[in-house]
Parts: sequence; C-alpha cells; structure tokens
Amino acid sequence: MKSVLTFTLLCIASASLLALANVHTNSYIQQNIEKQELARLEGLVDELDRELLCEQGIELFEVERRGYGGEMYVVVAIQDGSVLGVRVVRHSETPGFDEVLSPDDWIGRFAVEELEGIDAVTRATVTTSAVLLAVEDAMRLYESGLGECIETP
Amino acid sequence: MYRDALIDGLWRRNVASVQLLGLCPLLAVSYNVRNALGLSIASSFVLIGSSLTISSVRKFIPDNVRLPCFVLVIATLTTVATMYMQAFAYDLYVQVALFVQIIVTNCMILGHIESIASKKTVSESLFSAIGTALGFSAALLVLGTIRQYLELAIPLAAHPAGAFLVVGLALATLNTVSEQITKKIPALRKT
Repeated sequence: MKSVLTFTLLCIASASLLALANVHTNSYIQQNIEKQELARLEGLVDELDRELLCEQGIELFEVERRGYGGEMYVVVAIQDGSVLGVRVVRHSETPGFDEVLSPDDWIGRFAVEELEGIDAVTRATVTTSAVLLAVEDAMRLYESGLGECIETP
Repeated sequence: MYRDALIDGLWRRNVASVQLLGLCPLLAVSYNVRNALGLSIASSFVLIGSSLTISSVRKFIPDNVRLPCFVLVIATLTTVATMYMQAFAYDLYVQVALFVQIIVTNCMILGHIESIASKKTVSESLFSAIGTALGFSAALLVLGTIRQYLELAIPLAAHPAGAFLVVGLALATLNTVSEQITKKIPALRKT
C-alpha cells in the first residue's frame, strides 16, 4: 500500500513539473518548428507568394503520408502538369535515414528528372515510397483541379 | 569529503575513462565541441537534479518500487531538459535530440542513483553527482575538441569509426600516463 501511495505521489509531482515546463516552452517550440518548416521550403520556388506563384502557373500542394516514424508532411510544387520540386517540411523519420530528404540528396531528383524515372531507395524504402505516394496524391489533386489558383469567372 | 567526491568523479572513478559507462552518447555526439557541450549540460542537469530529488526523498521510497521511482524521476527531468533545449537551442536540439532523449537509459545516471543517491545524505550525493557530471563533461569536451580538430587532418575522426579509434587511443594514452601522474600526486591514486 505504501509503495502505491509513494509512486502515485511521485507521478503527480512529475506530471505537474512536466505541465509547467510545457506551458513555459510550448510557444517557443512551435515558433522554432514553424521557422524550420519555412526554412525547409527554401529553394523549392523563388518566392512563397501565392499570387506570384499563380501567375507563373505553379501550384503548391501539402500532402500527408505515413512514413516510417509517423506522419510526413510533403509539399509538392507542380507547374504545367509536371513536378517542379518536392520538400518534406515535417517528419519524424529515424535520424541518419532522413538524409534522403535533404534537397541535395534523393528528393532533389524530382526537380531535374522525370517522375517515372525516380524509384524508391533501399535502406530508406518506407520513407521514399511515402514521398512517391505523396507526389502521386499531389498530381491527382492537380489533375482534378483542386489547386489554389482557381480562376474566378 | 567534498574534495574526495570531486577527485573521484573527475579522475579516480571517472564514468567515461575508468568505469566506461555512458559510452553510447559519448561516442555518438563527440564529433564537435558544440554538441559535446550541449550533451554535457543536459546530462549534468539530469544527473544532479535526479540525485538531489532521490536522495532527499530516499527514506520514503519503498525498496520494491525503487527502480520505477528512479526511472520516473530521470525520465521527467530528461523530458524537461529536452523541452528547454527545443525551445531555446533549437539548432543544437536538432543535432543531438536522439542522444538527449536516451539520457533516460544512461547507465551512468541510474548507476549513480542506485549506488549513491539512494543511500547517502543529500549533500554527499550532491557533491558526488557534481563530481560525476564534471567527469563526464570533461571526457565529452576533451573528445569533442580532439575530434573536431583532428578532422581537419584526418576526416575519419569525425565519423563513427573514428570515434572508436579516438576513444581507444585516448584511453590507452590515459592508462599509460596515469601511472606517472599518480606517482607524482598520490592523492589521485585509485583505491
């Protein structure tokens, strides 16, 4: 009985400490994550301005796909029906295995190669397949005209 | 007593060079000084904080649930350290996140709590924890410095394989010179 009581009290104390720390740090953490997400979009398009992008006929799609370590948020830029570039803005893939997602690695190939020529990568099969599926999703969205640049009559 | 605790932690019973504990984060993070410093601060915070907590409530912890209690305290403090790092040192966090999170399973900390903090007075375990933390930080910083500058000449030094080589050579050197050092300064002799 005594051990249950002690452990419960210790749990309550820990939970309160964690809650306090969470309240104190949460807004800073969210800011940092948003900053990082924006930084990860760098190099995808020249300017992250919606009207400017629409003028150039570029559509951005954010697609969610399940990777190895959880949800991945993939941003796909499509211009005139072909993929301009792909970035993963948020993911929880295993450190070290996520290097395929850095713009000068595998994911950078979307900017220069035909979609059909890009295959998943062994050693990061789940991660890269998820990105490929996300790009397919984005293409489907583009083809069904669900982009942001819908012309108003 | 305090002098002894500090010498123990830094030299005679140094977790890294003598007890060879906590080698996973030591090897993985020490490829530059910045990461080494980040992990030192986080580990020291968790080690000293959990030692203080456990030693001050040690009389209330029943023997049969002591390990869950220890792990609970360590995990809580590690999560707090992770949160603050994520909030105020995000660049560093991205680099060392995994190794800060696995401080929970660092046998250096659990071992220290099991053998010292749960048995001795608060001040004794505090000084022992400070000594241990300083010893671990010193090892991390020395390795971080060596590897960061050795990389300029030998790129392998910053890679995982280089970590094993550098640690091995550093330990060998330390063992060779420690005999000479203890001859000159008897207080450092291992008992």
